Amino acid sequence: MGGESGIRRAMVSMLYGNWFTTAVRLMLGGMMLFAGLVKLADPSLFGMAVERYELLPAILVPYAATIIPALECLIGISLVAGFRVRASAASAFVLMVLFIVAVSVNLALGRQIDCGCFQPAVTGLGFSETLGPWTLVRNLLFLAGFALIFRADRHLLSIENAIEKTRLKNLEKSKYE
Amino acid sequence: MSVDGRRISGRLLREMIVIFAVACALGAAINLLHPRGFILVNRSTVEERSIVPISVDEARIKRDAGSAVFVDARDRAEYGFSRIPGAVSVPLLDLDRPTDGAPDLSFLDRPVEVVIYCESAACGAARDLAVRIRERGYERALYIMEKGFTEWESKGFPVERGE
Repeated sequence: MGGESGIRRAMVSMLYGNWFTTAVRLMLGGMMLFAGLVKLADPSLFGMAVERYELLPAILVPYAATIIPALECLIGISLVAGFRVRASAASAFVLMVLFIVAVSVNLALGRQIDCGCFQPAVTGLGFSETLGPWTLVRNLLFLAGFALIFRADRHLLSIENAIEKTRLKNLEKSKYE
Repeated sequence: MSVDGRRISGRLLREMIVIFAVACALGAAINLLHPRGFILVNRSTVEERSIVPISVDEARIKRDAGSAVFVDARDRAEYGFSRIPGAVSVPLLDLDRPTDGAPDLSFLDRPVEVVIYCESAACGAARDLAVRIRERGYERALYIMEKGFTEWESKGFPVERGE
């Protein structure tokens, strides 16, 4: 019984926002920033990746290939810095849902295509990731992470938190101004 | 709470739209400056890329290789007077005729390249015909002989005359 209440306390603290959610936020933010930057390094390469999924009409591919990396970078920066966390977590959630749909459709059609998720050719890590169930599982984990960040009210080590602290500290002062 | 919640969700949506808009602007700016960025063009430019202008000499090579069918876009009288040997007559004006006198387009299904020509460099019939054939769902490249039949004739390339 004591253990159960401990788990419950941990859940509540996680929903409110604790060090765990902060760690998730920093890691996913860093991941988004990294993914965005390697895609920005070579837009044409990412364009080919978008084309491989065969979901967008060819005329829209360049637009998607320019907007998605910038969006990933922006979301990554604001998650790591902790500014407008809810909005960026929600945007990341939407983006992740789009990715999951794209991956699922291609998996269902049995296409063996390169993921294009982290652009290994740019980073020179020398691995290439073929689309598989693991890609889907990983994206679902990311999705859960973004949902957790979105749900949390407090974000440690964030600009938002610092602003809130300052505001609360100066509450008395501002009341009479 | 519900009123408060709605206000917060409205703010959330606004913030998400701002994030997306900033991402669009940022992405466009980076794309513009990036050495391997995209050239963003309109749809017609992309579609016309499969309509390829070639010179008379290139058309001659295709003819000698036997890999091309020549399409005459001029009207029937001009075709009747003189033409590239073996050319198919597809007058642009006859394309809209319902059944009788409609030109035979069966060559489009054969495994050959299609070279379209009209009278001269200034005539638009070849390009117009290419666009029309594209609209019918033809997906391979269409070649247009850039300076037309006049140039072909002046170079002393083979010409067929009479009916």
